[in-house]
Amino acid sequence: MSNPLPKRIIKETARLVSDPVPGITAVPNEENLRHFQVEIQGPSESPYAGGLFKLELYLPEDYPMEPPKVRFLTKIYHPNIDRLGRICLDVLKNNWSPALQIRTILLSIQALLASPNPHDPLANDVAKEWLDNESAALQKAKECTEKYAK
Amino acid sequence: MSKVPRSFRLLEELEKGEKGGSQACSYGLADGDDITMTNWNGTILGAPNCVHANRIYFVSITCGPNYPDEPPHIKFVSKINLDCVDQTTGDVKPEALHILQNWKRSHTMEDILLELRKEMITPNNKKLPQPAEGSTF
Amino acid sequence: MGNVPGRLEEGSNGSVRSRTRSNSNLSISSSNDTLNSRSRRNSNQYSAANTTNTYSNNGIINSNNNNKNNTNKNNTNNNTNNPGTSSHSKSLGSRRHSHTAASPIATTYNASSVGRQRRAGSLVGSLLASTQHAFGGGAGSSPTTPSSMTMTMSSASSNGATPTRSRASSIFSSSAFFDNPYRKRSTRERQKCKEEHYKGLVVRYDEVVDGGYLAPYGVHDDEHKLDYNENVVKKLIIERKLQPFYLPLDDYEPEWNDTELLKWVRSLTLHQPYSAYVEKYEDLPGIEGLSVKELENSENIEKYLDSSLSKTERKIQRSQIFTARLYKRKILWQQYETDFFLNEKLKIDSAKKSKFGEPVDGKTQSQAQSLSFRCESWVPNDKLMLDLYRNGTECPICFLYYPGPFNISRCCEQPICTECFVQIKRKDPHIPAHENNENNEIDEIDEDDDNKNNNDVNENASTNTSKRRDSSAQEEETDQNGTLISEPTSCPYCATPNFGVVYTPPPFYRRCGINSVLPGEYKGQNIVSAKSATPTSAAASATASATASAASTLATENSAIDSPCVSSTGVSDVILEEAEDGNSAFVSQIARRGSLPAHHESVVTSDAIRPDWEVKLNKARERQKKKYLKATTIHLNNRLVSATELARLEDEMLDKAIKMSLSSNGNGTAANH
Repeated sequence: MSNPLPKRIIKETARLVSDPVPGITAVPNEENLRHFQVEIQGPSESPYAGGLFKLELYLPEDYPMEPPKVRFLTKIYHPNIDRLGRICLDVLKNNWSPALQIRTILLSIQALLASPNPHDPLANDVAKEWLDNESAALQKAKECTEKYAK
Repeated sequence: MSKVPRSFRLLEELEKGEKGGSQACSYGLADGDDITMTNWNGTILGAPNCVHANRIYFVSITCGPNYPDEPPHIKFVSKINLDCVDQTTGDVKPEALHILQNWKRSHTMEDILLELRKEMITPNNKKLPQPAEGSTF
Repeated sequence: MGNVPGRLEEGSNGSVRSRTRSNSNLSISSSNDTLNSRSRRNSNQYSAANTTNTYSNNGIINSNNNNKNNTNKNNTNNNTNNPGTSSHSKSLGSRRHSHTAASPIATTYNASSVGRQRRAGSLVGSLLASTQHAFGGGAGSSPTTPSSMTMTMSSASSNGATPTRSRASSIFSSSAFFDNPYRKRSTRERQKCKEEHYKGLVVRYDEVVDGGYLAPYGVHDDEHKLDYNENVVKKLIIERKLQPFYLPLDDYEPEWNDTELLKWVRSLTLHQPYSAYVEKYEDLPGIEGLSVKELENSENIEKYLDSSLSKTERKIQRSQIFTARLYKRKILWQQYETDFFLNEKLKIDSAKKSKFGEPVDGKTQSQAQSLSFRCESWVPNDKLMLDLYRNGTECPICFLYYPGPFNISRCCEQPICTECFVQIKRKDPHIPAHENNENNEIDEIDEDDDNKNNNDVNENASTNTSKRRDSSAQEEETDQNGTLISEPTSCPYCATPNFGVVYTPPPFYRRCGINSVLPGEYKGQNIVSAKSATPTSAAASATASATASAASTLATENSAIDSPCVSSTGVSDVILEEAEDGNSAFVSQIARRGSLPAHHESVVTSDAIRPDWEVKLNKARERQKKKYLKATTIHLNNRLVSATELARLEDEMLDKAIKMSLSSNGNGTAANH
């Protein structure tokens, strides 16, 4: 009934398995090979260090001409990630390019954990805290990681 | 065609709802912290040129784990007298509403709300006496 | 010659060699189909249900058509052909009509011996015949319109005037049909236009350039992204300014021997299989169980419409039915071409057998025999297939393997296949997201600008926000300045604005198809030039699977040995001679360093293949303006009628909506927008 999976998705999936990215795993759902369960380790030198964050990723019909859809399933205190796990990241929106891949997108998300950008927030309350009192915000992020990501 | 998973489908609907798709209805998450996005609130603006005109009806929508493969559960919070609404609980009877009975994966919550609005002006329903505005089930 | 399948004596004009094929007019259904006017199908020997055309041999004799004598000769030949052509064209409509009534069998046998020969031994023969009949019937059902008649005629005459270009020009549907792009078109006109576009996307087995095709294989089969101008792209491919649509291999292993490689290549069909089931077309009336003829008749849509729907809803349904039917017809059109393609392959196989004898013990013919076999056919022969697929690359975007040379991005010199290139288009007109987003208007770049652009991209990265935020910000801005914008596409690799590619055609010996030798008669290059140093051959072989940019370096390095022939466009073909074993490897690359500006004559930009972007933008602006004016008017009128009631209601709605939104989002995110 459904179209065969495009070769690109098959190859990307195989390469994610054969040549995994350190600190990141992505496993496709058996019933829907475009839907991936993702785990990202919190970068060291960040309040998320030591945490393991679950995400889900979906490759829409037009992929790679359209970006993958990604969201956090693990609760996280971060100015660019909202309470539903939605991520504000340019390469997931306007700056998507078909030359990018699942691999590069997940690396970008990992980099976003290492360097939050409170000037372009998605979670306004978190961003405000981040700007007003950064040490308190970092502490909250650590606590949140302890509580939900371990 | 690939199947959009439940969560991304609900996020799509949420974004459309936030943008304000149709002027005749609105919908949003009941609990903005609920990562499963199960419970939703909706409003329907009463159909024009009938007793419902200018009324606003509140409904609650429950999207189960199998949404959108299965239709959501709809319940009127505001009292309304329609053939497809259980008059004691406010539940919309799936067998009495075409869109729920013939559910397709491509249907959305907005489709249901608009269909309910259309129900208000079917010949059967048009003549039904309506409870006072603002009363709830 | 007599043994060559598909050859036609009748109607061929004296010394003019003729090629025949069953008229694919049938596949594209109606006589007012402008594609019908392709010159190679110009003299209709038979009527609609099974028309066989002669294809006058313009430009096929010599790959180099610039030869003046040659051109003149063709010209003469063509003129002698022309009277016949015209009369055939004229009688097309009426002849078709007469065949509408014919039964499938009668129609089939109305063909000449060649027609029968073609069908003989075909696995798909019966299917083909039935498809032909179905399409033929459809053709008869739609009477020829005056406009299409004119197009057919004009094509025939232009055939005589410019023989070397005739084939190319006649492939295109008339673009003059819609003079003013801003003119409001009727539904019928718009449907016609869409139909023509879909027809243009059908991969025709005999529209071959250098072993590739003029329409996409369907790697990204999304109708919204295939909205490029198919005539422009076909023209660019024929002019060898864009890589043809080669049939992709899923994988390629350099270790494969020729037999293995040929096995994979031979299993390719013209188009990726279509999904027969499309959810959005499900449950639409007036689709299932209809004959092709009924599907083609958009007049009968009316009777399937749901009468309980409102006028607007009916209009929507009407257009949905039309689109769903068009999808179905597109599948059938492609099926017809594919069947013909497969049929040709079978004929070639049996011709090989008769020439070399039956394969013993199931073994295929020896490689040498197979490679030397050539026949008059549009199906590429083994030699061509090897020359093509031994020199391919995986496209970095679709991950599929295509023969080279590739299109190369004008900015960062990265390869991209045409299949992916045509997908890259401007976003729909939208309101500017940020005022500081200024890199949109940059038209040209040079190497210094490259760095600047990269900085811009980085800046963008930090200033970009989610779509959701943008859209709410946009709504405010709409009311203030209200100007929609459309940004040029960016390079997928380096994000340089105004994406464009450069294509360097293969060397002359590797050219075939339109305006060159038939793909079935391809010889390639067997003479080893003394000039070619042995190390060069080795190096060239090694690059067989390397990327084109790597090849570019090689070409530059070797350009001292091979004297490049510089053409008028400043493009040089650097040909590295091949090794004797038939493993030909060549490298051809533009002699350039660094990037080229978007307006450079050899650059094909995204905008060039969607020239209507500006019209679309202006129309969107116009619509937006109207919408705004209308909204204001309604607003005012309502206030005059029942100002207080409406105001109360609006306030209440707003109030409740805000409350709901607040309760659902708490102190969080979306409430502020």
